[in-house]
Amino acid sequence: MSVSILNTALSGLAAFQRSLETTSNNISNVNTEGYSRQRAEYATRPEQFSGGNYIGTGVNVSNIARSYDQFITGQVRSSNSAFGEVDRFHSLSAQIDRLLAEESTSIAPAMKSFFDAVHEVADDPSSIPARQVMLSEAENMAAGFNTMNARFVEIRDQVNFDMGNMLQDLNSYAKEIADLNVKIVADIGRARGEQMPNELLDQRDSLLNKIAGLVDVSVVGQKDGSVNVFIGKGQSLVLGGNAATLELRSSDTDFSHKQIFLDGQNISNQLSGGSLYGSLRFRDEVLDPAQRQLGMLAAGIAVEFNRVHEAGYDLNGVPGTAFFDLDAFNQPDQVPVTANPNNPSGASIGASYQPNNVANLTADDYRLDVTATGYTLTRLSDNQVTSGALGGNPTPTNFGFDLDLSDGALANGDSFLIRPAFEAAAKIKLAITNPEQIAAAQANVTNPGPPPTVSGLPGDNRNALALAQLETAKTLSKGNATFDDGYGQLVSKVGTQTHSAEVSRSAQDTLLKQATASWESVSGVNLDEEAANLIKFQQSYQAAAQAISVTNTLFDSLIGAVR
Amino acid sequence: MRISTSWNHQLGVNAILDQQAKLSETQMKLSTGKKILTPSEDPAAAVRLLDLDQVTKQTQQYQDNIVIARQRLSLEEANIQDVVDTLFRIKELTVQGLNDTNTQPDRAAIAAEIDQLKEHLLGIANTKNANGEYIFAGYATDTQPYAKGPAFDSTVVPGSPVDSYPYFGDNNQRSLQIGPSRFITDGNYGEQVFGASDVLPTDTAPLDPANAQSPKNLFEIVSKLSVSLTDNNPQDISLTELDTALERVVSVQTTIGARINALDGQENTNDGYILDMQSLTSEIGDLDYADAISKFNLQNVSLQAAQQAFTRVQNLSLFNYL
Repeated sequence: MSVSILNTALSGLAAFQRSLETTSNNISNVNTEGYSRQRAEYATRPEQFSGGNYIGTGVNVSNIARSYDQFITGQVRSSNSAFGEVDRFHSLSAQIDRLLAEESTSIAPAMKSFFDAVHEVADDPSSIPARQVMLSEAENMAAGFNTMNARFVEIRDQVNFDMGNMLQDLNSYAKEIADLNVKIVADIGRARGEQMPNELLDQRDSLLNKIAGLVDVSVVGQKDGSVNVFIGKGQSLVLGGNAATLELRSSDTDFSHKQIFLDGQNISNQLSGGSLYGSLRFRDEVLDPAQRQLGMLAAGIAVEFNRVHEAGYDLNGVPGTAFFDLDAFNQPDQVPVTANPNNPSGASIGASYQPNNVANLTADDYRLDVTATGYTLTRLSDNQVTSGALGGNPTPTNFGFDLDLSDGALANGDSFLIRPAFEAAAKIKLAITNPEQIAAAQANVTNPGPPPTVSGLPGDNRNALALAQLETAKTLSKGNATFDDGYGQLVSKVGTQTHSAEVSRSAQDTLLKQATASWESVSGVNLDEEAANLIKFQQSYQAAAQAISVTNTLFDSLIGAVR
Repeated sequence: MRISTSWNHQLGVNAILDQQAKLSETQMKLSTGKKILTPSEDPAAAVRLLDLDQVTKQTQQYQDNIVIARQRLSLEEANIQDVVDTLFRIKELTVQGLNDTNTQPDRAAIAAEIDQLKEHLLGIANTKNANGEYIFAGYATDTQPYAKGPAFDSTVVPGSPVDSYPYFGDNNQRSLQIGPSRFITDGNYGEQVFGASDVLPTDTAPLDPANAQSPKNLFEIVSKLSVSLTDNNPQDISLTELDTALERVVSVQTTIGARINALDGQENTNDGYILDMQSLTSEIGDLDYADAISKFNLQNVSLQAAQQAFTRVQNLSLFNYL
């Protein structure tokens, strides 16, 4: 009889000790990220029929369960993804925004100083100092373009580096999840499916959350306790105990343009959510278009200025040469063309700016594909396609540049990337070194001939006036924008994108905070609550211990009675 | 709703961080005086400010051009006035010389003075400005506009040979831009003021009769006058020729006055425009200090309140009472 009292009391003691251990565990882990508070759940032991009554036999700890809501955890994960994407997008866009706001690197004052210097030469065409000032202002303006482009390149390098790091992190998280999957399945098996390895489950949820911050995932739980993780549009990252590998590779035609490969498959345009996608979206929607817009402006200024300059006569009476240079290799009007290294033939094509068609220049890249019947030219921003026949030099296009397709070795399947705008801002340079070479005058026929003798007079400023007029002429965007408008377009586009990213970011931040608040409400540890629980279990333990000392007294009384 | 300990702490910290961020932004605006720190705060206004800046600076460049144009026109005006005064003196001497009471030595003396005055006129025609440019040479500013050429054959021009003064300059005048579509010439080329010559710069003696009809420009007229006086045979027609030349010069003088007035008018218009643009720039881009300072104070108080609330709440724990 006392044995049963003893056993019952002992079971209580053991149970409350377990509860105290659990409470102590909760208190120790109050600051652990991703920890769900645990609770010991009790179940009564089966009752015995003895002495005509059913008597209970004490308590068992049936389960140590974590307070966990799968739906809320999923909410936090998807909010984390959404916030990670717009947060990254916003912070990168804000860098470009601040770059454009800085007075010292802004292109608009540099262009203004340059055209003011052109006016000074128009006021005094034979003055060497005025011409010298115009040359140095031109250098400043070109350097301004070069510097701003260099900053864009720096930001691109930073984004590529960060994406590389993110992929490394993702790979290690995926590997850890795969390992955890294996351990969890083993631990569940060891407890025959009745007890869950709470700490391991918390760790896995925390890793999933970290992955979600980098890229949006969908998580599918399996019957054996493991989870399968999918990213993008259904590509698997973790399947049971196996993790896939992500890597960053350069595109064939542009080394600085990186793409994401999952086990050898290109998934760059199938991703969504997370900092990784935010970085990709920033590069494709803000950085590359901004660099192309800046380049279009630089190319427009160079080609148009050269056109007017070459029509004039300089202080030595000879016709003007090119004032700006867009290519380092002594061919001022060449458009950069890159051949795809996988081309079947080794042929090459050329492209050059049309001097009279700056209005048709756009901030776009183009791809030329050689087909069986000729060529197709695709504008990469909207996939507009024009086609034609091979062989011509020049083959004009409607986009401000001419093609040279005269290479006979061009074969079906060849592909080339043509970039009239992307590199222009990096390459624009002053081509003239001698102030006397500035062509401020226009033609003056001294001897009708034939052939007529034409030269330039020193006091003639007509060409300088024409060059100064270029500042306010609507030369860009099919005749709708001046050079300043071109720059203003860049500033306002980046500003608008950053502004809307900021608005998105605040909204997503609020949503993430709400989701986290719900999660904390269910799973977070409250120290006051644990303190109260400590008192509760301590008192229960003391009561159970007291019950044991009572059975001791009973036994002593029984033995004492029989003696 | 149940709140965990760490979330409780986080809520307090988030509140402080938010207030700090807002306060920091207001502080930046106060110290730079700008309403818009980056284009993303108001993209349309940022672009508008760029445009206004460009237009203001462009108009200021026009003002600089106006100053240069006025300098040159003033220089030309002074020189033209000198030419007019000299022509009047020559006319006086001509009238005196035409009087038949003169003897040959008298007329020779008058002729000598007229020669001196002719050299003076030639000097004026070949004036150079401070940059070393000939002001009456059109575009050919490095070429002396007038120089003595071959003499007219006396069979063509009766009497002793008369010197020709061909024009070596150019027949275009430079313009400067003083307004968005407004250009003004900064002087006049030689033939407009002193007249053309039938003799070309490339002609050599003897002159082709077709090319040497009669004196047309000022120096040739005065040359003929001087020669006719020395020959004791002054012609009345010289007076008419002088009058024609004088009219030409005076009409140029009038245009100079008109141009200088135009410059003054355009300068005022440009000034008004610059002022408008600057006040618009200020309206859009400058900070309203009264508003910003009161916002700053409010945010300051909010931050202090958040910090004090945080410290009070953090002290409350059941463990203090166990």
